[in-house]
Amino acid sequence: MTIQQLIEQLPLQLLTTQLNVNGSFHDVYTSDLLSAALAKVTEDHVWVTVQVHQNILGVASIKQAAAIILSENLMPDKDLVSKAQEKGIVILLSPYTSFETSGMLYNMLKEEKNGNK
Amino acid sequence: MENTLSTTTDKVFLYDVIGAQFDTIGSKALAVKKMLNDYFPKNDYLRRLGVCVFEAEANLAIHTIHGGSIEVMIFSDRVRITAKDDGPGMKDMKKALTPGFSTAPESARQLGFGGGVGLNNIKRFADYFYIESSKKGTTLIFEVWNDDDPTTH
Amino acid sequence: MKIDKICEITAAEIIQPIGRKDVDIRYAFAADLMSDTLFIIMRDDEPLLLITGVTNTSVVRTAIILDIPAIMIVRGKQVPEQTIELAKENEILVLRSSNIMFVTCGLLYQAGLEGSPWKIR
Repeated sequence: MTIQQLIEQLPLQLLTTQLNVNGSFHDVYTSDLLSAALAKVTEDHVWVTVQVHQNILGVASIKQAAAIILSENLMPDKDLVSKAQEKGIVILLSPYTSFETSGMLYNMLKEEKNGNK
Repeated sequence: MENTLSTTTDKVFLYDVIGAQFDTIGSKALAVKKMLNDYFPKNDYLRRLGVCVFEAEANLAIHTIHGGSIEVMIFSDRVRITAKDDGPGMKDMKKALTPGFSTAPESARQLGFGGGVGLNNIKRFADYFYIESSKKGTTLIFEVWNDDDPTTH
Repeated sequence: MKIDKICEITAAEIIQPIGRKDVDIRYAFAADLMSDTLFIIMRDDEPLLLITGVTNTSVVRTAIILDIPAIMIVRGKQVPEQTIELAKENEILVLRSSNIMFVTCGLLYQAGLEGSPWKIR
Protein backbone atom coordinates (compact mmCIF):
# COMPACT_ATOMS: atom_id res chain seq x y z
CA MET A 1 0.00 0.00 0.00
CA THR A 2 1.29 3.47 -0.78
CA ILE A 3 1.29 6.38 1.64
CA GLN A 4 -1.01 8.19 -0.79
CA GLN A 5 -3.58 5.38 -0.56
CA LEU A 6 -3.26 5.40 3.20
CA ILE A 7 -3.93 9.14 3.36
CA GLU A 8 -7.02 8.78 1.18
CA GLN A 9 -8.49 5.72 2.83
CA LEU A 10 -8.33 6.54 6.54
CA PRO A 11 -8.31 9.57 5.86
CA LEU A 12 -5.25 11.32 7.26
CA GLN A 13 -3.85 14.82 7.00
CA LEU A 14 -0.41 15.23 5.43
CA LEU A 15 1.62 17.69 7.52
CA THR A 16 4.86 17.48 5.55
CA THR A 17 3.23 18.86 2.43
CA GLN A 18 6.50 19.33 0.56
CA LEU A 19 7.30 15.63 0.60
CA ASN A 20 6.09 13.11 -1.93
CA VAL A 21 3.85 10.29 -0.78
CA ASN A 22 4.59 7.66 -3.40
CA GLY A 23 6.46 5.45 -0.94
CA SER A 24 4.88 2.21 0.17
CA PHE A 25 4.68 0.13 3.35
CA HIS A 26 3.53 -3.35 4.32
CA ASP A 27 3.48 -3.23 8.08
CA VAL A 28 2.70 -0.98 11.04
CA TYR A 29 4.29 -0.54 14.43
CA THR A 30 2.43 1.21 17.23
CA SER A 31 4.38 2.44 20.25
CA ASP A 32 5.15 5.57 22.22
CA LEU A 33 8.43 4.16 23.49
CA LEU A 34 11.33 5.38 21.41
CA SER A 35 13.46 2.40 22.34
CA ALA A 36 10.79 -0.06 21.17
CA ALA A 37 10.32 1.82 17.91
CA LEU A 38 14.07 1.98 17.44
CA ALA A 39 14.24 -1.79 17.75
CA LYS A 40 11.26 -2.73 15.60
CA VAL A 41 10.47 -0.09 12.96
CA THR A 42 11.93 -0.70 9.48
CA GLU A 43 11.71 1.07 6.11
CA ASP A 44 8.66 -1.09 5.45
CA HIS A 45 6.79 0.33 8.46
CA VAL A 46 4.46 3.16 9.25
CA TRP A 47 4.91 4.15 12.88
CA VAL A 48 1.84 5.14 14.94
CA THR A 49 2.48 7.18 18.08
CA VAL A 50 1.37 10.05 20.31
CA GLN A 51 4.96 11.12 20.92
CA VAL A 52 5.52 14.57 19.48
CA HIS A 53 8.97 14.99 20.99
CA GLN A 54 11.74 15.94 18.52
CA ASN A 55 13.45 12.60 19.17
CA ILE A 56 10.85 10.77 17.05
CA LEU A 57 12.55 12.26 13.98
CA GLY A 58 15.85 10.70 14.98
CA VAL A 59 14.28 7.27 15.31
CA ALA A 60 12.29 7.55 12.07
CA SER A 61 15.33 8.81 10.23
CA ILE A 62 17.71 6.09 11.41
CA LYS A 63 15.17 3.35 10.71
CA GLN A 64 13.95 5.02 7.49
CA ALA A 65 10.30 4.59 8.47
CA ALA A 66 7.89 5.08 5.57
CA ALA A 67 5.90 7.58 7.65
CA ILE A 68 4.95 8.61 11.19
CA ILE A 69 1.25 8.85 12.07
CA LEU A 70 0.46 11.09 15.03
CA SER A 71 -2.79 9.98 16.66
CA GLU A 72 -5.51 12.02 18.37
CA ASN A 73 -4.99 15.03 16.10
CA LEU A 74 -1.91 15.73 18.17
CA MET A 75 -0.48 18.67 16.25
CA PRO A 76 3.30 18.94 16.71
CA ASP A 77 4.97 22.34 16.68
CA LYS A 78 6.02 23.89 13.39
CA ASP A 79 9.66 23.30 14.15
CA LEU A 80 9.15 19.54 14.19
CA VAL A 81 7.30 19.60 10.87
CA SER A 82 9.97 21.69 9.15
CA LYS A 83 12.76 19.47 10.51
CA ALA A 84 10.84 16.41 9.29
CA GLN A 85 10.61 17.99 5.87
CA GLU A 86 14.36 18.59 5.83
CA LYS A 87 15.02 15.00 6.80
CA GLY A 88 12.44 13.67 4.35
CA ILE A 89 10.23 12.06 6.99
CA VAL A 90 6.53 11.98 6.12
CA ILE A 91 4.32 13.04 9.04
CA LEU A 92 0.60 12.33 9.00
CA LEU A 93 -2.11 13.40 11.42
CA SER A 94 -4.87 11.01 12.45
CA PRO A 95 -8.12 12.18 14.05
CA TYR A 96 -8.39 8.83 15.82
CA THR A 97 -6.71 7.36 18.88
CA SER A 98 -3.76 4.98 18.42
CA PHE A 99 -6.14 2.08 19.13
CA GLU A 100 -8.57 3.09 16.39
CA THR A 101 -5.87 4.11 13.92
CA SER A 102 -4.14 0.76 14.42
CA GLY A 103 -7.43 -1.12 14.15
CA MET A 104 -8.32 0.52 10.85
CA LEU A 105 -4.83 0.00 9.44
CA TYR A 106 -4.91 -3.64 10.49
CA ASN A 107 -8.13 -4.16 8.56
CA MET A 108 -6.81 -2.31 5.51
CA LEU A 109 -3.60 -4.33 5.37
CA LYS A 110 -5.55 -7.54 5.84
CA GLU A 111 -7.93 -6.72 3.02
CA GLU A 112 -5.01 -5.86 0.78
CA LYS A 113 -3.33 -9.18 1.52
CA ASN A 114 -6.56 -11.09 0.87
CA GLY A 115 -7.09 -9.13 -2.34
CA ASN A 116 -3.65 -10.12 -3.61
CA LYS A 117 -4.25 -13.83 -3.14
CA MET B 1 -10.17 35.93 39.23
CA GLU B 2 -7.20 35.54 41.55
CA ASN B 3 -8.78 37.97 43.97
CA THR B 4 -11.92 35.88 44.26
CA LEU B 5 -10.04 32.84 45.56
CA SER B 6 -11.53 32.01 48.90
CA THR B 7 -9.26 30.92 51.71
CA THR B 8 -11.75 29.91 54.33
CA THR B 9 -11.79 26.19 54.83
CA ASP B 10 -10.57 24.00 57.63
CA LYS B 11 -10.17 21.00 55.38
CA VAL B 12 -6.55 21.10 54.29
CA PHE B 13 -4.42 18.05 53.56
CA LEU B 14 -0.72 18.02 52.81
CA TYR B 15 1.24 15.43 50.82
CA ASP B 16 5.00 15.30 50.30
CA VAL B 17 6.50 14.17 47.01
CA ILE B 18 10.07 12.88 46.88
CA GLY B 19 12.29 14.24 44.12
CA ALA B 20 14.04 12.13 41.47
CA GLN B 21 12.03 9.06 42.34
CA PHE B 22 10.02 7.83 39.39
CA ASP B 23 8.71 4.47 40.51
CA THR B 24 6.24 5.85 43.03
CA ILE B 25 4.70 8.47 40.72
CA GLY B 26 0.94 8.42 41.10
CA SER B 27 0.86 7.13 44.67
CA LYS B 28 0.04 10.56 46.15
CA ALA B 29 -2.59 11.14 43.44
CA LEU B 30 -4.20 7.86 44.44
CA ALA B 31 -4.16 8.81 48.11
CA VAL B 32 -5.75 12.16 47.26
CA LYS B 33 -8.42 10.52 45.11
CA LYS B 34 -9.28 8.01 47.83
CA MET B 35 -9.42 10.74 50.47
CA LEU B 36 -11.66 12.96 48.30
CA ASN B 37 -14.08 10.14 47.70
CA ASP B 38 -15.56 10.90 51.13
CA TYR B 39 -16.33 14.48 50.12
CA PHE B 40 -17.23 14.15 46.43
CA PRO B 41 -18.40 10.62 45.59
CA LYS B 42 -18.66 11.31 41.84
CA ASN B 43 -16.56 9.19 39.47
CA ASP B 44 -16.10 11.69 36.66
CA TYR B 45 -15.21 14.51 39.04
CA LEU B 46 -12.72 12.37 40.92
CA ARG B 47 -11.12 11.19 37.67
CA ARG B 48 -10.62 14.80 36.57
CA LEU B 49 -9.07 15.74 39.88
CA GLY B 50 -7.03 12.56 40.08
CA VAL B 51 -5.53 13.18 36.64
CA CYS B 52 -4.54 16.75 37.52
CA VAL B 53 -2.91 15.70 40.80
CA PHE B 54 -1.15 12.82 39.01
CA GLU B 55 0.43 15.27 36.57
CA ALA B 56 1.41 17.71 39.32
CA GLU B 57 2.97 14.84 41.25
CA ALA B 58 4.86 13.61 38.18
CA ASN B 59 6.28 17.10 37.66
CA LEU B 60 7.52 17.26 41.24
CA ALA B 61 9.05 13.78 41.07
CA ILE B 62 10.74 14.27 37.70
CA HIS B 63 11.73 17.93 37.53
CA THR B 64 12.76 19.02 41.04
CA ILE B 65 15.87 18.65 43.13
CA HIS B 66 14.28 18.05 46.53
CA GLY B 67 10.74 17.08 45.55
CA GLY B 68 7.92 19.23 46.83
CA SER B 69 4.54 19.35 48.44
CA ILE B 70 0.95 19.04 47.31
CA GLU B 71 -1.63 20.85 49.39
CA VAL B 72 -5.27 19.94 48.96
CA MET B 73 -7.90 22.42 50.14
CA ILE B 74 -11.48 21.25 50.13
CA PHE B 75 -14.39 23.66 49.71
CA SER B 76 -18.06 22.83 49.41
CA ASP B 77 -18.08 23.14 45.62
CA ARG B 78 -14.43 22.77 44.61
CA VAL B 79 -10.98 21.49 45.43
CA ARG B 80 -7.88 23.64 45.24
CA ILE B 81 -4.47 22.06 44.75
CA THR B 82 -1.22 23.90 45.39
CA ALA B 83 1.98 22.19 44.29
CA LYS B 84 5.22 23.79 45.44
CA ASP B 85 8.89 23.05 45.10
CA ASP B 86 12.20 24.82 45.72
CA GLY B 87 13.77 24.56 42.32
CA PRO B 88 15.33 24.55 39.85
CA GLY B 89 12.29 26.19 38.19
CA MET B 90 11.28 26.24 34.57
CA LYS B 91 13.65 28.00 32.18
CA ASP B 92 11.02 28.72 29.57
CA MET B 93 7.39 28.78 30.68
CA LYS B 94 5.99 29.14 27.16
CA LYS B 95 7.89 26.10 26.00
CA ALA B 96 6.90 24.14 29.09
CA LEU B 97 3.27 24.68 28.11
CA THR B 98 3.88 23.51 24.53
CA PRO B 99 2.61 19.98 23.93
CA GLY B 100 5.50 17.65 23.23
CA PHE B 101 8.15 19.84 24.82
CA SER B 102 9.78 18.04 27.71
CA THR B 103 13.04 18.20 29.62
CA ALA B 104 12.37 14.86 31.32
CA PRO B 105 15.31 12.44 31.25
CA GLU B 106 15.17 9.32 29.07
CA SER B 107 14.89 7.21 32.23
CA ALA B 108 11.52 8.88 32.92
CA ARG B 109 10.38 8.39 29.33
CA GLN B 110 11.00 4.68 29.55
CA LEU B 111 8.46 4.60 32.36
CA GLY B 112 5.85 6.33 30.25
CA PHE B 113 6.46 9.88 31.49
CA GLY B 114 7.95 12.96 29.92
CA GLY B 115 5.59 13.14 26.96
CA GLY B 116 5.42 16.88 27.42
CA VAL B 117 1.68 17.13 27.89
CA GLY B 118 1.48 17.15 31.69
CA LEU B 119 0.99 20.85 32.37
CA ASN B 120 -1.38 21.03 29.43
CA ASN B 121 -3.46 18.26 30.88
CA ILE B 122 -3.87 20.23 34.08
CA LYS B 123 -4.57 23.47 32.25
CA ARG B 124 -7.30 21.83 30.23
CA PHE B 125 -8.99 19.91 32.99
CA ALA B 126 -8.80 22.53 35.72
CA ASP B 127 -11.27 25.39 36.08
CA TYR B 128 -8.64 27.70 37.49
CA PHE B 129 -4.92 27.53 36.62
CA TYR B 130 -2.04 29.63 37.87
CA ILE B 131 1.68 29.00 37.69
CA GLU B 132 4.79 30.98 38.58
CA SER B 133 8.34 29.83 38.36
CA SER B 134 11.82 31.11 39.13
CA LYS B 135 15.16 29.53 40.00
CA LYS B 136 13.96 29.44 43.59
CA GLY B 137 11.05 27.20 42.73
CA THR B 138 7.71 26.72 41.09
CA THR B 139 4.23 27.24 42.49
CA LEU B 140 1.30 25.72 40.66
CA ILE B 141 -2.23 26.41 41.84
CA PHE B 142 -5.32 24.93 40.25
CA GLU B 143 -8.92 24.33 41.13
CA VAL B 144 -11.37 21.76 39.90
CA TRP B 145 -14.99 22.72 40.38
CA ASN B 146 -17.62 20.18 41.15
CA ASP B 147 -20.56 21.74 39.40
CA ASP B 148 -19.76 21.86 35.71
CA ASP B 149 -19.12 19.72 32.69
CA PRO B 150 -15.53 19.54 31.36
CA THR B 151 -16.74 19.27 27.75
CA THR B 152 -17.93 22.86 27.79
CA HIS B 153 -14.43 24.26 28.29
CA MET C 1 -16.75 -8.00 25.51
CA LYS C 2 -15.92 -10.39 28.31
CA ILE C 3 -12.33 -10.76 29.57
CA ASP C 4 -12.21 -14.41 28.51
CA LYS C 5 -13.20 -13.46 24.99
CA ILE C 6 -10.53 -10.74 24.87
CA CYS C 7 -7.93 -13.28 25.96
CA GLU C 8 -9.10 -15.76 23.33
CA ILE C 9 -8.94 -13.19 20.52
CA THR C 10 -5.49 -11.87 21.42
CA ALA C 11 -4.02 -15.16 22.68
CA ALA C 12 -3.51 -13.50 26.04
CA GLU C 13 -3.13 -14.99 29.50
CA ILE C 14 -4.51 -13.51 32.71
CA ILE C 15 -1.50 -12.90 34.92
CA GLN C 16 -3.41 -11.11 37.70
CA PRO C 17 -6.91 -12.63 38.01
CA ILE C 18 -8.24 -10.81 41.08
CA GLY C 19 -10.77 -8.18 40.07
CA ARG C 20 -13.91 -7.73 38.04
CA LYS C 21 -13.61 -10.86 35.91
CA ASP C 22 -17.19 -10.61 34.68
CA VAL C 23 -16.78 -7.05 33.46
CA ASP C 24 -18.15 -6.33 30.00
CA ILE C 25 -15.48 -4.22 28.24
CA ARG C 26 -16.76 -1.68 25.74
CA TYR C 27 -13.77 0.55 24.96
CA ALA C 28 -10.06 0.13 24.40
CA PHE C 29 -7.22 2.62 24.54
CA ALA C 30 -3.60 1.98 23.60
CA ALA C 31 -0.64 4.05 24.82
CA ASP C 32 2.75 3.89 26.45
CA LEU C 33 2.66 7.47 27.64
CA MET C 34 0.74 7.70 30.85
CA SER C 35 0.11 11.41 30.39
CA ASP C 36 -1.64 10.61 27.16
CA THR C 37 -3.67 7.92 28.83
CA LEU C 38 -4.67 10.38 31.52
CA PHE C 39 -6.36 12.32 28.76
CA ILE C 40 -9.13 9.81 28.48
CA ILE C 41 -11.50 10.97 31.07
CA MET C 42 -14.38 8.80 30.09
CA ARG C 43 -17.70 10.51 29.62
CA ASP C 44 -19.56 7.51 30.95
CA ASP C 45 -18.58 4.70 33.27
CA GLU C 46 -18.42 2.05 30.55
CA PRO C 47 -15.49 -0.30 31.21
CA LEU C 48 -12.29 0.24 29.26
CA LEU C 49 -9.25 -1.91 28.50
CA LEU C 50 -5.86 -0.18 28.66
CA ILE C 51 -3.38 -1.66 26.17
CA THR C 52 0.25 -0.80 26.92
CA GLY C 53 3.86 -1.85 26.62
CA VAL C 54 4.78 -0.23 29.93
CA THR C 55 4.92 -2.56 32.93
CA ASN C 56 5.85 -0.45 35.94
CA THR C 57 3.51 0.38 38.80
CA SER C 58 2.50 3.74 37.33
CA VAL C 59 0.40 1.84 34.80
CA VAL C 60 -1.67 0.38 37.62
CA ARG C 61 -1.98 3.78 39.30
CA THR C 62 -3.15 5.27 36.02
CA ALA C 63 -5.78 2.54 35.75
CA ILE C 64 -7.01 3.21 39.29
CA ILE C 65 -7.22 6.97 38.76
CA LEU C 66 -9.29 6.44 35.61
CA ASP C 67 -11.45 3.60 36.98
CA ILE C 68 -10.07 1.19 34.38
CA PRO C 69 -10.77 -2.45 35.37
CA ALA C 70 -8.23 -4.24 33.15
CA ILE C 71 -4.76 -3.74 31.65
CA MET C 72 -3.35 -5.62 28.66
CA ILE C 73 0.44 -5.84 28.53
CA VAL C 74 1.75 -6.37 25.00
CA ARG C 75 4.93 -7.87 23.51
CA GLY C 76 4.86 -10.60 26.16
CA LYS C 77 6.82 -8.39 28.50
CA GLN C 78 7.82 -9.60 31.93
CA VAL C 79 5.75 -7.75 34.54
CA PRO C 80 7.49 -6.75 37.81
CA GLU C 81 6.19 -8.31 41.00
CA GLN C 82 5.35 -4.87 42.50
CA THR C 83 3.08 -4.14 39.55
CA ILE C 84 1.20 -7.40 40.03
CA GLU C 85 0.95 -6.79 43.78
CA LEU C 86 -0.44 -3.27 43.37
CA ALA C 87 -2.93 -4.53 40.78
CA LYS C 88 -4.02 -7.31 43.11
CA GLU C 89 -4.54 -4.94 46.06
CA ASN C 90 -6.68 -2.67 43.91
CA GLU C 91 -8.42 -5.44 41.96
CA ILE C 92 -7.16 -4.40 38.55
CA LEU C 93 -6.99 -7.36 36.15
CA VAL C 94 -3.71 -7.77 34.27
CA LEU C 95 -3.63 -9.64 30.95
CA ARG C 96 -0.61 -10.33 28.79
CA SER C 97 -0.34 -11.05 25.09
CA SER C 98 2.79 -11.90 23.16
CA ASN C 99 1.43 -9.90 20.22
CA ILE C 100 2.76 -6.41 19.52
CA MET C 101 0.52 -3.43 20.25
CA PHE C 102 -0.48 -2.98 16.60
CA VAL C 103 -1.71 -6.56 16.22
CA THR C 104 -3.44 -6.53 19.61
CA CYS C 105 -5.31 -3.35 18.65
CA GLY C 106 -6.11 -4.75 15.21
CA LEU C 107 -7.60 -7.97 16.56
CA LEU C 108 -9.70 -6.24 19.21
CA TYR C 109 -10.88 -3.46 16.90
CA GLN C 110 -11.92 -6.03 14.33
CA ALA C 111 -13.76 -7.97 17.05
CA GLY C 112 -15.78 -4.89 17.95
CA LEU C 113 -14.12 -3.04 20.83
CA GLU C 114 -14.66 0.69 20.38
CA GLY C 115 -12.13 3.47 20.66
CA SER C 116 -12.58 5.36 23.91
CA PRO C 117 -14.15 8.80 23.83
CA TRP C 118 -11.62 11.59 24.36
CA LYS C 119 -13.33 14.86 23.72
CA ILE C 120 -10.85 17.31 25.10
CA ARG C 121 -7.70 17.99 23.17
